[in-house]
Amino acid sequence: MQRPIHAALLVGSPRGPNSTSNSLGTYLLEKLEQQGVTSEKVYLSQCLGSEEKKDAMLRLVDESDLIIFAFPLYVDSLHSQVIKTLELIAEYEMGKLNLDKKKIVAISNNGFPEAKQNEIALAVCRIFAKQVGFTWAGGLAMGGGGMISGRPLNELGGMVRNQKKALEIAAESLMNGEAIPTEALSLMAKLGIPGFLYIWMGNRGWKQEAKQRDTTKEMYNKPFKA
Amino acid sequence: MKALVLNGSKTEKEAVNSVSDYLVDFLRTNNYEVDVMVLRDEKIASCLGCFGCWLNTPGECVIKDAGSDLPRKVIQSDYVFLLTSVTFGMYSSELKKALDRFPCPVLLPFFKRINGEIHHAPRYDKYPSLVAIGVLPNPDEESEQTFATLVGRNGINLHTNAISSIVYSNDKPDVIKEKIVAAFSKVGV
Repeated sequence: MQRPIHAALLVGSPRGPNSTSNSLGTYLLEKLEQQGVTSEKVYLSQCLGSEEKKDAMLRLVDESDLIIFAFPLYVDSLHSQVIKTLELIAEYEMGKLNLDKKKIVAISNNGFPEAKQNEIALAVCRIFAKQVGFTWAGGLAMGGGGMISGRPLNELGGMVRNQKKALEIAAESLMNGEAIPTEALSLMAKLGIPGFLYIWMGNRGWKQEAKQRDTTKEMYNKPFKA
Repeated sequence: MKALVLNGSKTEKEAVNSVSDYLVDFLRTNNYEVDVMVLRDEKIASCLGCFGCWLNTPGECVIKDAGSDLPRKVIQSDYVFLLTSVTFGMYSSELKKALDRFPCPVLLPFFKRINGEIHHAPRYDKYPSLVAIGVLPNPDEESEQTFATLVGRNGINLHTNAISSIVYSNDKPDVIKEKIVAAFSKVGV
């Protein structure tokens, strides 16, 4: 693998700029930029609604030699907008020369505490890279995405120390022309707080949000009869 | 018994449509009440990830289009069939757009431990069985394995049993029909 020159970050969360996917992808992009890589970022939720923006996104992928997908886990895999993007890129790029010079990285996060629940989503990205002819440079999986909730990693202190370190190692490896090492994958998957605490905070958080909306009594509604 | 068939083909020419025809014929012959949605013909927006179905109108999606009726259709079915071209080991974007719209409304936001893993707790007492039939042009072990694992995981998250089957584009009609019957029998019919 060669050292990347121009990186594209494709943020695949429907929450766009306010997403945890954006927080994680942006941190990696910043680390790459500090080492001389130029970059561009697009939000897929904003690209797919317009032909012009969709074409611009495809051109960006075509012109980049490092393509980073950052997305949340959605029903055990990718959100429909991410799989739509993979379909479009495959159609646009398939058959072109030197596709193996493009490196694919994926960052998947989910709201459950277990990072391993992202495995299928990352496998889909790996199969995509293989079928189109790109070079797979690695997939980082994170559980406990609720800890970040769309905030920049630098504002979150020690809670995300493992993820920051993982992304820093990933950037360094990519700049050395290497795939993301196991050390980074392991650190990314490591929750910064005990699992039981994350679960307790998550359940409490939903109740607090419902209280603010005055829907506490309706939370367990069953609007449809079986 | 009620069956909901979600046809996730992207064009009229895909082999997924033949699978849908054989499946619907089989179900109707066996006296099932069948609701077929050809998803490319429906107006279904992508899920916004807004959590409105958990917090604002619990159990119901806040987007009003053909997708907002999916949670009701799913809960009132005994079987949900997911028909799709296998796309990098998963569902097509057409099918996934529909699939993204119903799990959150039919589940609770709260966490529940199942077989040592955390998932969302059920909102309802009963969920339909899932049968996913994926179409591939040729055998592809990695894609087939990923597809089967995905469908199994969907079953865990939706608190139901789930079965997957692979059909190849050049399978003869009799082979496709046999695979449909075999998959259906595995979910308890």
